Amino acid sequence: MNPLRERELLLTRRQLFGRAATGIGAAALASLLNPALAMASGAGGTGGPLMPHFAPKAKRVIYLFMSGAPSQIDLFDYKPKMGEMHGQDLPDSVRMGQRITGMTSGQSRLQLLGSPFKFAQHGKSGVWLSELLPHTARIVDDITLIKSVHTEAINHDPAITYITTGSQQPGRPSLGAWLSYGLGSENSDLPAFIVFISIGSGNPNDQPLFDRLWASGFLPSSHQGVKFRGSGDRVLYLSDPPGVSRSSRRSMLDAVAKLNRITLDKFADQEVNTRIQQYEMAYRMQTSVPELTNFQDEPESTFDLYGPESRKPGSFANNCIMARRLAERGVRFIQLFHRGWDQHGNLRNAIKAQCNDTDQPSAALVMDLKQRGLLDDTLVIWGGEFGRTVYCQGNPDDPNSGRDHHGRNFCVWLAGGGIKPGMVYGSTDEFCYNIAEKPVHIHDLNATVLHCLGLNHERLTFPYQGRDFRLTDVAGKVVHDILV
Amino acid sequence: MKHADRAAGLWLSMCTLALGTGAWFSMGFSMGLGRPESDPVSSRPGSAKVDFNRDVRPILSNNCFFCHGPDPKTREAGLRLDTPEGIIAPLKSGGAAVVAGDTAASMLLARITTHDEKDVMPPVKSGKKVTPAQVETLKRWIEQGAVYDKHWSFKEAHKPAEPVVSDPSWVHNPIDAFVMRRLDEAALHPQPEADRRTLIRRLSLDLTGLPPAPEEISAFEKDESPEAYERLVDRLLASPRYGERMATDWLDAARFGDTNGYHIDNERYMWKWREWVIDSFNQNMPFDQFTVEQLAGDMLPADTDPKVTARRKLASGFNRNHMINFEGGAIPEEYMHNYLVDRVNTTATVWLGLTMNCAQCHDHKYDPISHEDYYRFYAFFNNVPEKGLDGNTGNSEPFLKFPTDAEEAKLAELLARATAMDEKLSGPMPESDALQVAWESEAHAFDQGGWTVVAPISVVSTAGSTLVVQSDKTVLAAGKAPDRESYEILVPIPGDAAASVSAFKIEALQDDSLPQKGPGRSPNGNVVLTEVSAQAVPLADPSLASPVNIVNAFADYSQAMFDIRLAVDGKGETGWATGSHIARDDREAVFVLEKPVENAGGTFLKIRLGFDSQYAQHSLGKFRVSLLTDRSRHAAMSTAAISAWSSLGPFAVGSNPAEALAAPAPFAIEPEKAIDLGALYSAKPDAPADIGWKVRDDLPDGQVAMLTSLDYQSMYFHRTIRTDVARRVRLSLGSDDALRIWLDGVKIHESGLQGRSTAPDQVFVDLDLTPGEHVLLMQVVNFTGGFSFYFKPVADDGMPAPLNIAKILRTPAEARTSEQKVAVRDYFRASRSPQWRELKGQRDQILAERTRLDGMVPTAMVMGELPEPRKTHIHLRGEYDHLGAEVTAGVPHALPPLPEGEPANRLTLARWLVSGKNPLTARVYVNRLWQTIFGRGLVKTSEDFGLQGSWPSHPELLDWLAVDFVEHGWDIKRALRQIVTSSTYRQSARTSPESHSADPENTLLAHHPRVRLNAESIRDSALYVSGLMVERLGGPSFRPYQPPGLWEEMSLDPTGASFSAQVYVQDHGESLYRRTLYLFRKRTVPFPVLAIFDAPNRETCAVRRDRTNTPLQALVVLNETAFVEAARHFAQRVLTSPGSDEARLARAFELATAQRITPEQSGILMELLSEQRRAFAGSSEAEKLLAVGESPRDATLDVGEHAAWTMVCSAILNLDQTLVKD
Repeated sequence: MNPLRERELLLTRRQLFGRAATGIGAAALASLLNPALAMASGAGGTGGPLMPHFAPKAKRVIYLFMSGAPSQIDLFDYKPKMGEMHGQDLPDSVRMGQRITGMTSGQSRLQLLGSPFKFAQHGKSGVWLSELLPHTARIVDDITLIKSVHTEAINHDPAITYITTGSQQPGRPSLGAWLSYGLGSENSDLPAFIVFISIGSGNPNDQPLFDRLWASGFLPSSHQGVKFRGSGDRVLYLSDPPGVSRSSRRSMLDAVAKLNRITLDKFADQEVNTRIQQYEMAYRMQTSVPELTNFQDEPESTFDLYGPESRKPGSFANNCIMARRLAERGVRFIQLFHRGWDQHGNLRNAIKAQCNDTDQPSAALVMDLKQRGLLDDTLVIWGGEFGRTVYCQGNPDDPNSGRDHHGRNFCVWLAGGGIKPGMVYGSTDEFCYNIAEKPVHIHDLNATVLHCLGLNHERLTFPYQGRDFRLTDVAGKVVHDILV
Repeated sequence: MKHADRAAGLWLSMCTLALGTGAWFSMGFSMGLGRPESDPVSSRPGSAKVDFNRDVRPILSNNCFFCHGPDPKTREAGLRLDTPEGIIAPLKSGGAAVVAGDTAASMLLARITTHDEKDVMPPVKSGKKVTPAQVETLKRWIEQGAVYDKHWSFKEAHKPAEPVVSDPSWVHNPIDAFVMRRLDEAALHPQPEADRRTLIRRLSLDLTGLPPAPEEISAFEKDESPEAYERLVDRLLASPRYGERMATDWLDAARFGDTNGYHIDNERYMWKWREWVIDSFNQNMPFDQFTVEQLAGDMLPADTDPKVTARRKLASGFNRNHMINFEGGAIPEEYMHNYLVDRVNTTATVWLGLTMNCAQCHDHKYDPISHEDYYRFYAFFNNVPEKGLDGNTGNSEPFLKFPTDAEEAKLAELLARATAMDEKLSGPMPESDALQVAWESEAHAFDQGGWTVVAPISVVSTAGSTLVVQSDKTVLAAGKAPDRESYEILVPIPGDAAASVSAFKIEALQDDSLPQKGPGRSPNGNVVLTEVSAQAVPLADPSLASPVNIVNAFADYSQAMFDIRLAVDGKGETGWATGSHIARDDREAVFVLEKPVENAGGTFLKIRLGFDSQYAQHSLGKFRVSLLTDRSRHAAMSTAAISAWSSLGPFAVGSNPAEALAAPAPFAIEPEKAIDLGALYSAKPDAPADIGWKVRDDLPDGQVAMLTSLDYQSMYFHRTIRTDVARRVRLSLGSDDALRIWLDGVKIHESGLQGRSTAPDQVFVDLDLTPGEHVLLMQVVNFTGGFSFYFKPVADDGMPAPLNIAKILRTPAEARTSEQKVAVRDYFRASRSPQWRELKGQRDQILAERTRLDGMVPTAMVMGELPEPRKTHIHLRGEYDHLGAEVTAGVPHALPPLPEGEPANRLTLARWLVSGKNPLTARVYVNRLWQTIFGRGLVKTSEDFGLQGSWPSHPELLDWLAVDFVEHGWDIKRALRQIVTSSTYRQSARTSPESHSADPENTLLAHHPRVRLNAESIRDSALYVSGLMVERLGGPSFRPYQPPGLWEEMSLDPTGASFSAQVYVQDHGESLYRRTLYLFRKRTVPFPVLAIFDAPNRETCAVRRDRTNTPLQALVVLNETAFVEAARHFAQRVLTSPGSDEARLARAFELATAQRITPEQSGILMELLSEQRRAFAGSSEAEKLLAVGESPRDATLDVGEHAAWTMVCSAILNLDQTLVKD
């Protein structure tokens, strides 16, 4: 852009803001007349409506959501005995009448499927991990691995809706919307809650995602997650129409602002003032988002760290770099949904492909945040909506067989932002079918996440339909044992 | 300060702070939250009389009822504060919570004011606290006698007297008196009436959702008659756009969507129901009827006019609009429960304003609705003949077809034409009948001649039956009857060395010695002949015996699924059954040899009959063998020999039926070009070629062949036909769905029907065969639902009469039964009468056309009642699989009961809701009408009229409106007319400092509220102002411009091979410019423009929308394709009208805002215009901007000029004044 013109634009903007800030006209009059406003003005303007309930350990969250449910038995929860018992039936004493999905309830046998993958211990903490996770092995001393997460849901739609919104049925606000509502954003040019979607290599069609997973439910819709996309406009409708230059847009917005100020003066309606500023924010986003998504300023080492896929827009690895850049800019909640973990069949190949997508970038993100000093106040979460069965879907000796859904125990790891490093929490029986100790319900997990951010999950409420609703419904206990 | 208020306060403060510090998206929402709030008047100190409902109950409800309310399970210390008895009852600890007139003795006050953290109420850990002002209110209430009152909304509404006000001249109708009384109390004054331009824009947007046209504005401005305003109101209410405007809110409440939601979220079809809603509003259907038809239209007695009955059933689709799941592995009972819960919650919210959902798991914590009440209500909706998992292909059971009058007439006409032809087809046809007589004698002669009954030389049982050749050359079995058996029969070839045999016949005969007279040896007399084979045995050297091929077989009768051809298919387990247990008679079967076997001086024929089926003892008890010795008849008998099927596929095709037929997607598999049974094909372009032809002997002729049912799939089928003589073979075919046939590479048939279920005789195809081998290729394409076909050769010109007909012909014509006569005639006509065939062909075409049209008639889901009602239980903790006590249908105990003597069913419930006795329905609905017009209800929580809901800003006005509504027949237009003709409505939206200070939320309506247009209206206004809008009332949903990949990146089936609404296919042409009400609503991936402007995602019922103000909204109106295209057309509209730049600006400004542009505004826009002209002058960029959107551009306009004006018009579309209604 022509530097002279740039200066001109800046001046115009300064004049515009100056006028708004010095409070000339009916706008300021109106705000002075509003006692509610006068009271609130001392509270400062950077946070959300609630502010933290206590000093937070984490300021932001990066949630690597593995949609479709990764197999805990093949990745994290080492069960050597299942290899020995391979092909035998799951004892009834273990299953205890637990309901199973319509996909395997018709099978005549529930045969055990030992993990076909090798496990080894890693790090100072000696955590067992599958050979599929060589990169995660490098960060085991930075994470807490919870082996005893559980949920009541046994199918994808209710389960993923449950863990992201606290209810199996649609309609509630998502975790990110609650955080946006509770804490607001630290960056005025970016949304508080940003979502990414990537397609897994393991099973590209599974599972579908739904807008409700990042929706605001009954919270004001301004708290809904904003999707950053891998192609086209990274934020929907961000680009000016073809043929429209930045200076053309600027002069148009200036005219709109001038005309809107006339309306503001006429009606003394504060919403007009808000609109003027939202248009300015939109304009700034048009610059800040491309700057954010342009990786030219990233050194070669970044791409080496995050792996071969990291230059490909829309890939999980690329999104992980983006997540780190957003974290650097103070975005409150960044959620990456990676599809393709639903291995009912072809488990052996498909889970390998999924790990190829995710293992290196996930570990890289933790290392990258750490080397930049961001891990201390960024909470990283890795996990899906439930786990998978130790018994086989199909014949255990058929290489195309897989595992069905299992909600009674699954694994999630967390890192940074107040989480103890190098810890394993909870355990399961030798069949990886029931929790042996220290169960963590998904409400407990969500309560713990809120806690890391300085929010009491019982007090982060919103009145709706006559009741104070919260993310954790009427349950949830903070898992203090995993916190530093 | 409650955080709801703080939130609002914060954003206001941030608005005035310098940019960069404000929270981003969390700024600026102006809708209120659902919390009882203080009243601007009564909360002022010094107000005298405390109103229990307004002032006291909200304090008790919010702070105390959770532990001392209706739910006994969570009730602490036995204390109950939600009843008048409970609050004064003696406490266990002594004293009472409330002692009327005695604040010192009232323990309630002591406990909420104590500083002892152990004792203070509400408990510290609840996070709740009673404020000093609230303590003061409670004190005054006790002092004033502690009068307890029933919750206001549960009390019957009475029409209050019109209050006396300070300025009666302002009162246009009673609404104004109630409003002014509240203003008087607050010492506030209303604003003067808005100017006419403001009024017409406000009214047009409120009543039709679109801004006024300039001609309408000037006509209204010029109309000086006193009725000008009322006339305008009437005109707008009479506009069909009114129904569209009103339907928009109703569709939110009804959670209307175009997809099934949940997991797969494929397409459903409820737009006929949406049409019903629009029509009903336009016809001003009274709200009571509107209610009854939607909740129970299916249960109303049938009307004399079937169309009325059908429309009522259509209306009942209201409670089928909930989401329906088809996730693999999901448990049906769980989802059935979810649907019921949705119906209860939606019905309660929409008509009762009750949060009944709180009682799904336990007794309501605040309102008098018990857990049992919930499931009594649930029982009303628990009788629908539906499935827990459904909707994998379109609508879910139950659904009905809803043709338009024109469609219905056309279908009836086609049916009448086909029926008339049926009569002709079965009536006398002199020409054909004459031919038939001649043919009958010929056929009879053929049947009788050429056969020789032979006595076997030997018959051997391999399993131990005793077989004896009788004197009449028959063979009779006796002795033990083995489970499995085979007979070897040796017969001589009669005649000299030149004699030959070219077929043999086995007659299965009845005999008294056999069980049930046989002819089988099984207890029921049936026979299953699994395999027949033959050998030629030279007498000279039996070791030189050679097998003889059987190329054809006929029987006079084959039991279903046991066709005669199964006896010569080379497989032991399948076979021909005589069906003797079904119809007792002799049977005969003919087996035709490939080549005649010569006697050659002594050759025997050895016939083997196998009885090797799973059915024990199904062997022949008595039979006779005949040989065809007249070799001249062989060619006719060895009919076209048809090989077994081979199949290829399935392959996915596109989900658009037209495309699916045009070329199989995603790439072409075209075996029709050249058939190579050894070739391999790939499922997708990049997949390995690993799909080959497979021999299919599991697809017998004459039975519906079921294929693995996948949606949008294509399969190919191949077989060869060999004939020795020229002949025409007629095939009877059926298919689900489309069918194509090629003979020797030439396409001879195509029927591309959707939604057809396979049946015999859907299509007849003639194969004209020359001697030699022919290749038949068939393609079956399944769109959705079942995947199958039917194939049977039914006639063959070269053939003699089939055995069943030949048998009839053995009876003299006059002795035949009428059934036999019809059978002979039908066979003859179908196989040999050109006259009949032509007529039949015409009739089939008519029926095919009817089937095609019928398949296009839209359906809609409806409610229905099972003949035997389902049992309903309480669901413990609300869970689907934890059942408690059984309950019967009923309404909550706190509300008036159902009328006595009426059945407790859905229809009675619907009538009860609008009986006028129910205190809630009318209040709840008039409140929502008020919300539609003023942006917020008199009760702000329009979804909650319970104890935790907001206190009405104008309780008496609400009651007056509700009673007036019922008194005047639930007349919606009348109620709206009353509201919009009030002085309250007609005020200016300007704010006075006094009212802003006293009533910042404008609860008292001291000015007209400024309200941002809803999502639909924002898009509609842009299209309308630009002149692009295409108004078409009703119809299916359209798919607008949408950034690529939005559906696919989220969907289960991104290729769209198995499910609908997975791949986004944008519409083109006029559809793009239809009103947003008709925009396709995919529930799991809502259209972003709507979501960004706060439209609910339609997963669940919503009766109130947020109104946020965010940067994403700015990006939409600035950059979204439809808005840019609208700006471009808006510019074109302005540029093609005559006048100066200033005049054109004025026109554009007026089109968008209805206002005259001021010189200041004009100056700003003129400056913008000249800047944009400079920017686009001589630049090639202008063309790019003008290419946005698919509508054509007026090429006579200068490109740079058009682009500059496009930017100016876009600026106008982005103005606050355009986006907001004053």
